[in-house]
Amino acid sequence: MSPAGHHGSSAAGPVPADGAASVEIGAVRRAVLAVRGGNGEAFGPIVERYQQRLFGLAMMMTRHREGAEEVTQDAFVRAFSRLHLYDESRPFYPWLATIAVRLAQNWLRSHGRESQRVSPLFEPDREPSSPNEPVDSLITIERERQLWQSVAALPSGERTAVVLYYRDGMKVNDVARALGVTGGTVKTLLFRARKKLRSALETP
Amino acid sequence: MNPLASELQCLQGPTAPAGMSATIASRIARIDEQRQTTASAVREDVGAASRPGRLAWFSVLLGLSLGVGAQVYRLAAGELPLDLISLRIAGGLQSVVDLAQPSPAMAVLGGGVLLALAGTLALQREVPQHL
Repeated sequence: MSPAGHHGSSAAGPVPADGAASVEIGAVRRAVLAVRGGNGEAFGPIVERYQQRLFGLAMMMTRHREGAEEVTQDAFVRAFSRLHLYDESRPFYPWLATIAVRLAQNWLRSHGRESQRVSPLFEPDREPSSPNEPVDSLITIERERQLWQSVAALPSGERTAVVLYYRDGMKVNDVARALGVTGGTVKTLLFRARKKLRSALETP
Repeated sequence: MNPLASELQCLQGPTAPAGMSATIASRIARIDEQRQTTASAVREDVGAASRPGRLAWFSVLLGLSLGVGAQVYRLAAGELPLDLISLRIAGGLQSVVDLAQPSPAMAVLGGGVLLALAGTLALQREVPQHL
């Protein structure tokens, strides 16, 4: 069971509700069929829909902005090239995320030293707009920043599992397939990650 | 669900670079263009390769049609006696020579046979190219 109860994912925000997810799945399926039918431009909406989410995943894995951009681009290009291998009966995002995870793992193998211990490049989407902005909003932004950096400080497997399972709403089996491990290993990674995150977020 | 899990579901990451989708679109467009170019080249190659094959088949069929047509004409015109009771050639080699008397129908038959043979040989020459 995924935390969000489905496999879909939105462009940037939280995972959509069931109704929105089914609309999203339909839209992606139509785009996939159009691309398979020879209309390459139909892949554009897929890129628009998933680029933010995939970039976040790549950023979390590589902890390197240029590396994440390279991985995200390559993931979309590879997905386009191998779209004939995608099984329509399964959700699209886990398939795409699996490609991105493999590419990020390859990137880490060749550029391991460039990956930073903690990503300093987190820029929340919602910056304080004015000095009079409510304190609650500023606290939320700071909390998001802190949460991202805490997750980014986890070991590679744990932070990837957290992003795929919690943020992207993927099932344990799908996360396991993406990481190339068993479901039991994913549960262990998530358990360890939660423990470390609680400890990190409670520390002032 | 515990508060940590709810927070993680809303985990916001860094914003993707502004021009990234355009770069991806251009890379995909290049691949798409290459695919279409390759596909049309393959179609042209297949078309060009199949032209001699079609010509050979055409000559085989035309040759057979001419040969059979000529014999049907001879039967219809009464030039060729048809013995439905005994189809074997009774008079030996002489009967075969008598059967193949020089006539326009025999010339057409000969031409047809030659054409069919040429087509068959051409087809046989093509086979190894596709293996």
